[in-house]
Amino acid sequence: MATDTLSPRTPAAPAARPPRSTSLRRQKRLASGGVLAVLIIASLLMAAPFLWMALSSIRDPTELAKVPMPLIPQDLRLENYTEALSRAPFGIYARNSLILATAAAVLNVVFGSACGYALAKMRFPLAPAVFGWMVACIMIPFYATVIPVFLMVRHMPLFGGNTILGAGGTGWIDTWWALIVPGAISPFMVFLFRQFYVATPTELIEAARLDGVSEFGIYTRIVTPLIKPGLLTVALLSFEAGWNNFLWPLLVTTSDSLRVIQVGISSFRQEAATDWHLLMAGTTLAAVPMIILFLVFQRYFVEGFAASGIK
Amino acid sequence: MPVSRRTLLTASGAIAAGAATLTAAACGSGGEMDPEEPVDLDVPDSALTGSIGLLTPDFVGDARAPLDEEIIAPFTERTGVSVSVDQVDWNKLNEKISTGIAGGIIADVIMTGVGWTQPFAEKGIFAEIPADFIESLGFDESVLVSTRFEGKYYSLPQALDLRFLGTHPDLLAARGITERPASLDELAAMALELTGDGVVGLDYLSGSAGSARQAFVFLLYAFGGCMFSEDGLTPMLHEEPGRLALQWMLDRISEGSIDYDLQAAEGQPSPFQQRKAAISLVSTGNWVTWTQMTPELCEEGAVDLHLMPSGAGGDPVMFQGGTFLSLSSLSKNKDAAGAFMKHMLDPEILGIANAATGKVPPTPDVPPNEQIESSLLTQFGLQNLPYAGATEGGSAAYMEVRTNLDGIVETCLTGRASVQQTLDDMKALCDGAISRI
Repeated sequence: MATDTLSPRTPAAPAARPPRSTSLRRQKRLASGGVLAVLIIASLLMAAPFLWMALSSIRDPTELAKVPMPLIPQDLRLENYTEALSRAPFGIYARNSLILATAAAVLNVVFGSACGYALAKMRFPLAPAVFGWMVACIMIPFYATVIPVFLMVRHMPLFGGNTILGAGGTGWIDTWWALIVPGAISPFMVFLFRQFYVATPTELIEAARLDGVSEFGIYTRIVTPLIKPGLLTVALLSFEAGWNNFLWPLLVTTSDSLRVIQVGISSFRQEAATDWHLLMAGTTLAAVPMIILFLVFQRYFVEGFAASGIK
Repeated sequence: MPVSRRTLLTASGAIAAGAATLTAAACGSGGEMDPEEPVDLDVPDSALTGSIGLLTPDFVGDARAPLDEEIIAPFTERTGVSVSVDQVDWNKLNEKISTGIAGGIIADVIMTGVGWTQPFAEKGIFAEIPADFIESLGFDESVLVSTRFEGKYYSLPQALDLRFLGTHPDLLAARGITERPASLDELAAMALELTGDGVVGLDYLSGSAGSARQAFVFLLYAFGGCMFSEDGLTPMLHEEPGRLALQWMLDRISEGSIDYDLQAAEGQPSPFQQRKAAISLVSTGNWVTWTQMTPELCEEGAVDLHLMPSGAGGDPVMFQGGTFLSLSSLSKNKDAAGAFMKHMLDPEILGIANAATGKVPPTPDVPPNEQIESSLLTQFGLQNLPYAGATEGGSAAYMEVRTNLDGIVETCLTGRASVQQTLDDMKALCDGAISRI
């Protein structure tokens, strides 16, 4: 088949060269155009729920009820945002979410990197077993651990009126401790850090040891600066998990002053009716910080995942 | 048997509840919270002190201000007892209670739904409420059925969500239908007659049905059945009325008068509101949505309301959901909790609370309230309260049954299981849950 196609052109090869390169260029253009079209369609599909959310957040409620609903809002109703903010103490909720997410990011980076470094670079007899246990822990669903963790929090000795045996009071329930401490370390983040540290050159560590640098110094000043994308990845993932946390804060808090933004958003959804325009305005407000963070750090984020071998 | 996260959590909660009770006893921390201590509802206000907690899935958004300002504030002013509110979404209420039980720190006054009383009463979480107080309220027997466990009262209705049928009178008139259906056979014939020209005769499975499980339960009662025996230890939903209920839905689906795929997108008006369905299951909670989206349906005579006719030659029925008040047996301030429950059941407070939440008070004897009186759905529900006998639950094992029952009914309605297989699965599910009590 190749011969059949090429044979008529062979005698006129010199003359045919410019059209052939034009054809190749056209093929390349077509191919890249096709890829671009697929990517645009895929991007629109991925972005569609967010676009729908943003558009619905400025729609009039009567427009939301229209059948069919117009794609572009007829009247921009920015009051949805002010109304949503007035329906619940969103300022307090947002502050709480920010504290919770920031604490989760910082603590996971600190503890996760230390654990990951130890598992990747320090030799001790139980390292493989500890690593295997960590990986196994990733597979335990949150719902299976929620009651044991709740009991630990509730019976925390010497807190909330508890005795040394953890009885008599409420422990950490309805405190910042209950919100922050259980999320301060995650097996997945340890695993992620371990993957980053494994990729760093061991020779550098050995050289540092020969130069008399302490193990803590090697971890903080030599190796950890090499995995900046990893630090950012873990920080972003932990921040996102803390920001979107809904069930745990709901279970361990009772007062409004400790509730988080996701709990606030749920107040727009009632048993029989939902204020969709306010729900979408609240959700858009809650999504904005995460979108900004991702846009700013997306290069490191993608690099981080690529470097850790997790896609 | 599929194990859902809810089942996992409920089972863990039950195990942990036992452990917590033992721990509390062992540690001697139960001095002030004796589960056996009866509730005294006659303590004078002057003797009440301290604070209590209220766990509620209602009073969300705009309804929160009336709770704080018009319900709690007068109580606190009168008694000096402060009330802290823990508002939790209905979808997460079971998780909140289960973890609270496990930790032994649950709110003093707990609001739950129909079918929740027996499971938590059996675990010793809800305190018994004196029968003489309940009898003094004068509530209809239909709203008290789901408040009892082993012959004693453990909860009281605070708000109801009632379901019945609504029809577009003009669509019926166009087909020459003037009579209301007197039986399920007549309803089926009417639905078939109304089907066509882009209209489905009966919208039974979308929107107001709540879920496939509740749609089944409604018909189960219409055919004269019930879910469990009197003592809650024997399932009865798999018996003849259950078979008739499933077959009735399947027959309507096969002839096209019920369309399983008929669903409105989230946030959009229901098929009935869009006039794509001539008859529909209607919930009293729909009124808010109707006033916002289709106010024309809120005019007198725009929708004809009627009860679900009987399939067994008996009385018509109405489905009853709602929010029920219970007292925690672990409360450290039972007297104040009891006083707050009494306050919540005061006719004036019932009116304020239900006007705020858009629900139906458990008695028509509430002072005139514009919001309650303006809802034609609420008025219809109140006029027919004695027929509100279709209720979920009735067994201490029901919390383990309820969500799994949804999947079993769905499997039948989508043709992936025969009626007999579905009934067998229902029985196996209930037997398994009851055996673990």
